[in-house]
Amino acid sequence: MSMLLMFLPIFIILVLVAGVATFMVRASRRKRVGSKKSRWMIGGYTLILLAAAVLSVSVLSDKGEEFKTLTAEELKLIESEQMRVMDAAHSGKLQNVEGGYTNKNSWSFPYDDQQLDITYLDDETASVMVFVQEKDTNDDVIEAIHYTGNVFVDGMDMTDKKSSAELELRGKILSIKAPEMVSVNVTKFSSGFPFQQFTGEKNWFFGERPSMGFGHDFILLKVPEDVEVDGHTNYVRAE
Amino acid sequence: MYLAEVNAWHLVKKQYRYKLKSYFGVFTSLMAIQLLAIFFSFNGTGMSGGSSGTLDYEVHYMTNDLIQMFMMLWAFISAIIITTKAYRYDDYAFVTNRRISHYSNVLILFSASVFAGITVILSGHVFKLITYFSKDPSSIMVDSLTTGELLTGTAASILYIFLFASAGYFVGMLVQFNRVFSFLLPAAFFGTLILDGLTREPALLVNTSTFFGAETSFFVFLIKILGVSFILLLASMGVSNRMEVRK
Repeated sequence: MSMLLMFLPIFIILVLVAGVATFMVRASRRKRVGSKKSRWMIGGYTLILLAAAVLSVSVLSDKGEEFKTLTAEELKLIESEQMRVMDAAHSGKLQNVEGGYTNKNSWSFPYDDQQLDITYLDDETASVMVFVQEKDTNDDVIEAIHYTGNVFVDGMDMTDKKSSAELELRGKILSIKAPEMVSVNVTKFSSGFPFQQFTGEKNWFFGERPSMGFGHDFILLKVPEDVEVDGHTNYVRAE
Repeated sequence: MYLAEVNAWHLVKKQYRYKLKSYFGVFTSLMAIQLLAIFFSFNGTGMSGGSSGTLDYEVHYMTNDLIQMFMMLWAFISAIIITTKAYRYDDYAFVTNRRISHYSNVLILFSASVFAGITVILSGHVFKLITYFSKDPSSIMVDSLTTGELLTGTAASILYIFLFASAGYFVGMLVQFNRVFSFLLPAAFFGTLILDGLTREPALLVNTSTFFGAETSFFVFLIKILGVSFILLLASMGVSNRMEVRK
């Protein structure tokens, strides 16, 4: 069976070539001098193609801007930036997040208690990390920011499509719910290999489609100096 | 001194004009095959899917690749067809020799390649429009080409088609020279495909296609295609010189 499958592409090519060849040989045997009818047909076909091209350019000209597309070099920079942020965060030095992460949502909760418990509402939330920073003042406000790692599919920035986490403060408990799963379905048109061959990184043979970012989500929690945080957190550190 | 001076270039032009009308079937078959290619292209040329954290994605790729490939195949077969006796003997309606006949054939093949190359990009628009109206327009991404990219792309498309036409012309001449080639050449081609399929690292056909397809400089690509086409056409003329004269 696997042997048959191995030869399947060859059979398909064979059938295709044979089909096209038979059709063309038969067509060539018919009256060859272009009759008026066939001239009109070719002329009409060319006109339809031209009209379609004009219509397509006017209708679809702005369809390349739905997602911002980045080059492989730009993506490499963003990925290394995301890795730098994560390494820094795990070693307790979270700074300059904006390069590879997007601020998805932010909250501000008035809070005058001394103790804060963090809980996850579901198992999926475990994928959302929580980094806690202690402020150097007691302003009785808990600030929370949901950062999401920029995600790229085939070089297209899909970060905007991602949804935000949900946070709720009830008494001493801050509950975190993971962002909703989002499905994105994209149809991408390209003009074909002769058009991509000379455009550098989009090259047909070597054009590795730019990979995607890690897409990590984390909540940065800034709590007043005297608040003690307990529960699902990755690190607690004074700002 | 003759009553009518024979000018080779004048004859080539005359024969070219005659062949444009006479070989019209080539263009009708182009249209039929292009429509077939547009139809097959709706299936897409690839799909990638996966998930990253809270994002599930599916990307369907639609390209003009299939239309381009069909046109290359069309050019190859058309070139073979015009080397058949029925077509070759048409030339003797004029004062001609083999060289003039070849020149006019090359001009015809080049004109057909130009027409096919331009219609590849145009028919790609038909295919885009139909998909746009039949799918959710918000999820459609179209690559934007600069004028330079459009020009080099169209030229590359024409050159690929012309390369296949030249190869077809050579193959056609070989078969006309000796019928054994009509068995030998397909056997060699499919044998190569099978060999490439059996070895874990396909080399023969891959090397041939990377020679042209992996070239990123348009100028070098142009030289490669024109160079190989020139060799193929020159070889075709060489082969035809060894063929029997018309009885």
